This record gives sequence, structure tokens and C-alpha cells, in this order.
Amino acid sequence: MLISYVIVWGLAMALMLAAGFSDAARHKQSISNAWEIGKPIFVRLPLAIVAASFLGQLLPQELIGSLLGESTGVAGVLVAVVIGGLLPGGPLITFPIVTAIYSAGAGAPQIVALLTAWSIFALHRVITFELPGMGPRFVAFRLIVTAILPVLAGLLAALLPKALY
Amino acid sequence: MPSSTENAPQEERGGRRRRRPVLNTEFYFFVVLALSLGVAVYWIKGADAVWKSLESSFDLIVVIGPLVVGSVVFAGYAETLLPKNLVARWLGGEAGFTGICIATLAGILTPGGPFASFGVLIGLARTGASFVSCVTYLTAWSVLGLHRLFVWEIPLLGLDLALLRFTCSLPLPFIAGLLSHLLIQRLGYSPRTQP
Repeated sequence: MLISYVIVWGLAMALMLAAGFSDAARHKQSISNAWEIGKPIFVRLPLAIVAASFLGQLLPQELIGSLLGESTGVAGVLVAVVIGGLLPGGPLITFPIVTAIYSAGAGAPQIVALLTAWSIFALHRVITFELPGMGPRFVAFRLIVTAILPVLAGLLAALLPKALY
Repeated sequence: MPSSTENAPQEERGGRRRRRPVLNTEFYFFVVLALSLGVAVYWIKGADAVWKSLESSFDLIVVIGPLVVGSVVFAGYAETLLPKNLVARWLGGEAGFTGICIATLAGILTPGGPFASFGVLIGLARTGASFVSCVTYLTAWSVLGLHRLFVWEIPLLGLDLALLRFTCSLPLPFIAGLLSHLLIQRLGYSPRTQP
């Protein structure tokens, strides 16, 4: 987590320095941009986190793990994509759930599909950043375009010879 | 609406921006969602489980809050500092396959989780990156980001599974870029990335 702080604030500081010391109007403009971008994010973030945490409690992790076994093949990959798309929360909430699902017996291609779907659809990210920052139309178009990708990743993983992993 | 609301003093940048209200229908939808999930947890698992969720959520918000502020500050500065003509040239509507490659590379290399990447994305979108570039960047960051691979996946899932996932995701940003290009060509319309 410390790394994240250093990186994010390091980047922000670097841009502040790049804006220079003499140009006060530029700083003012930047901060007002930031405020405008940030307002909708700040009100949604707590909501998304709380909702994700509740959803995490409701997910039957064992059951999901047993549903996604290696032998479930393409059907399992498709189910994994749907579940992955619904997985709540950022990495802090999701990775513990995914490791539980994996150790409950899910196959590697299914986990690949699940993780990729979670990465791409990312409900929490859509709620907190993407909708307020980029607008609903951008989100809708992006989801249409990327819907097929996690399926491709899962199928690719199923095709790769097992000796490779 | 006449565009005479443009007021000159703020240099050429920005002009008037179409604002979306902060507390809109979408916001209330999420309020209802969170509340009903809470009720479900209360029903199925009892008050203790609800309390546990709220507690851990609060901890998480405290940890993440400063990161969000940092990313928003970054995005605000990026918007004023990024050279618009360069962004438009390399990531704008005419950038083509080169644009897809640049966006992919940028996504792979952006460190620092969603906080940094969204700062970059919003900054780029507001300085003229096209829909195709934005989708490619976001896809590349989310499936190929080195940050997530090293910080989360390798430690938690093990090297084999993490690398398998990474390898299978290598073509995805390019496919996303091509598909979004085809989509907007088909429709003859591209969703607004600039406010």
C-alpha cells in the first residue's frame, strides 16, 4: 500500500513542480479542474466500498469454486466471466475471494476468465471513477466493445498445453 | 444554447464545461443498491456481519482516501499541463494503429492501481485522446498492468497462474482497440471523451 501512496502522490507532485512556481493562475486552474473531477468521485467511493463489502459477504465462495472446476470447460469459462463481472471491489476485497474460489477447486482457465472479467468490467471502478469521470455513454460503449475479451482469455488459457503452467 | 457563455479570461483552455450534477439518479441508484445489500446481509447473516462490513469499509476508505485525492490532483494538473496538440496527434482520432500501440504501452506501464490510471485516463480524455485510445489504454492497464501483476497476482495467486493470466491477456488491448475502431466506424459516431 505504501508503494501506491508514493507512486500516486509522487506523480501528482511531479506535475505540480512541472507547473512551475511563477504561474499561480495555472495552479488555480489545475486545482479547480481537480475539484470538479473529484466531487462526484468522493461521494460515490464510500458507497461503492460499502456495497462491495456487503456483496462479498453474500457470495458463496465454496459453491462458486466447485462450479468452476477444470472439467467444466467452455461452459465454466462463460460462467466464470459472468461471476467475474459481478465480483465486487478493488484488489483488497477481490483477491481474497478469488484465492478462496481457486482453492475450492476452480480450474486455471476458469480463474483466468474470472480475473480478466473482473479486471475489464470492474463494477467498483465503473461506479467510482468511470461513470463520473468519463460519462455513461463512454462506459456503455466500452463495455460493448470489451465484452468478448475475458472469454477469449479463458479459451486461450484452456488451449495452452498444461505443461506450460 | 448560444455559445456566448464562453468567457475569455481563462486563456484558451476549457471554456464552459457541461456539468453533470453530483447527486444525480445514478448516485441514488447506488445508495439504494448499497442499502438493499446491507439489508440482505442483515437478514442472512445478522447484525454482526453488517457491522463487520461497515468497520472494514471504513478502514478501507481511510486507507484509500488520500490516494483518490492524489489521483484527482494528478488529473487536474494533467489537464492543464499535457500538450494538447501532442495528445491529439498521437492518441487522437487520426492516430490509428500507432495510437493503439502507444495507448497499450502506456497502460502496461502506468503504476499505482486505479488511482493513478484514472488520473491519466481522465487527463488524456480531456486533452483530446480518442475513444479508441481511451478504451485501449484502460483495457491494457486493467489486464496487463505490471503493477497489479507484481503487487497482487504473483504474491497471492502464485507465479504460474499469474503468468498464465498475463500471457492470455497479451492480445486483448489490441483487440479492444480494433473492435472499438470498427464500432465507431460502423456507427459513424464516437462517444464524447472531452467534456
